[in-house]
Amino acid sequence: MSEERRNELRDEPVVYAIHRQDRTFLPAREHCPLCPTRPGGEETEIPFGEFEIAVFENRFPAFEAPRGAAEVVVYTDRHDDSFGTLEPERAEALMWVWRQRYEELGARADVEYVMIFENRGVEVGVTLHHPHGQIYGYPFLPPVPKLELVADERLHGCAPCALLGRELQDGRRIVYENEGVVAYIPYAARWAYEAHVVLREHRPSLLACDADELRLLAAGLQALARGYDMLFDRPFPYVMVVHQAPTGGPAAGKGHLHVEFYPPLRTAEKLKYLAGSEQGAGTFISDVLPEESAAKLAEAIRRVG
Amino acid sequence: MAFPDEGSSISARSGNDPREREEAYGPSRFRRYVKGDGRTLILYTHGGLTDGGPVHEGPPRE
Repeated sequence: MSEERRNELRDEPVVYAIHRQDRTFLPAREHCPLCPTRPGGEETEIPFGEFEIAVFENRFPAFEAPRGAAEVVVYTDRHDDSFGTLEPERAEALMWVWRQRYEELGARADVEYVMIFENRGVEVGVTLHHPHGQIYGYPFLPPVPKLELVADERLHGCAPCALLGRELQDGRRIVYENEGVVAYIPYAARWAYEAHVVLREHRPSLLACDADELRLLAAGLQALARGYDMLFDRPFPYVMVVHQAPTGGPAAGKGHLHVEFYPPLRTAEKLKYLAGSEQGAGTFISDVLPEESAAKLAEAIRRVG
Repeated sequence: MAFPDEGSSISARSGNDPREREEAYGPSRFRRYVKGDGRTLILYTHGGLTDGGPVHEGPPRE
């Protein structure tokens, strides 16, 4: 069981999950715990010979009942795929899995905020290469979604709706759009290639999306993931986070579904580190203008087609 | 894809009739299992995605 403490200087929670120190770390391919179980081979987390999408409770959870949840979502039984290379139908199916888990975990009394995310690449601390994401059910409202609610108040309405409107009006930082979603590098992006994929219509969560919107969301996310890989002609590390409305507490149901990508690369070989100004002053110093990186990323997305 | 039956290290979470063990969600079907250490595993399969519509209205749109 994890221990929650409060950092009073920063007014933020810190979770100590010391059992995670022992979790599986970059195993050889033949020992991947997320692959299907081969006949005669060692049993993996999924003790069957094939599967489409699998979800299971994390063996090394940061949160667990009766104080939250931690799950692993395995996108495919093919070890060498990635979110971007999944068949479009599989990516669309994944949106339904996310929706179902958001609904089920969000209904729990010990979960106030459901966060679906993917860490991709050793640069962001991935310990297993098999394509997968995770879901945390926080027993409290974490600082970032709390700040988004404050932004709603500051902008006198839905902040993502307002910011999407500004980006569409400006146009220079948009990298992809379809009938359901718009992807752009924000005006004040913290990371060189940070991108937000935002539902055109105001939808608090995946639960408010119809089948077409889920399909278009999947298409937008995949276009971006493939464009990232094309950008520097290499697997592009990122943290991908689905932002949705809290499911409990006074803010339940308030939010605007969007997906944010935080890639640490600023060039093909150079990583952005969180150093003095970022950690000590909370002020990102970026050496790339969002308009310039957006032009490059949009071109990469166009090349992938 | 058909759901696999339980094995030596895993069991279906409930129901004796295999059909009762499956749940539907939009165009998806899923089935829950209990792993040997008590953790839940859910397998999802999908078909007819283009026929799928909203199955839950969810919270009111603002």
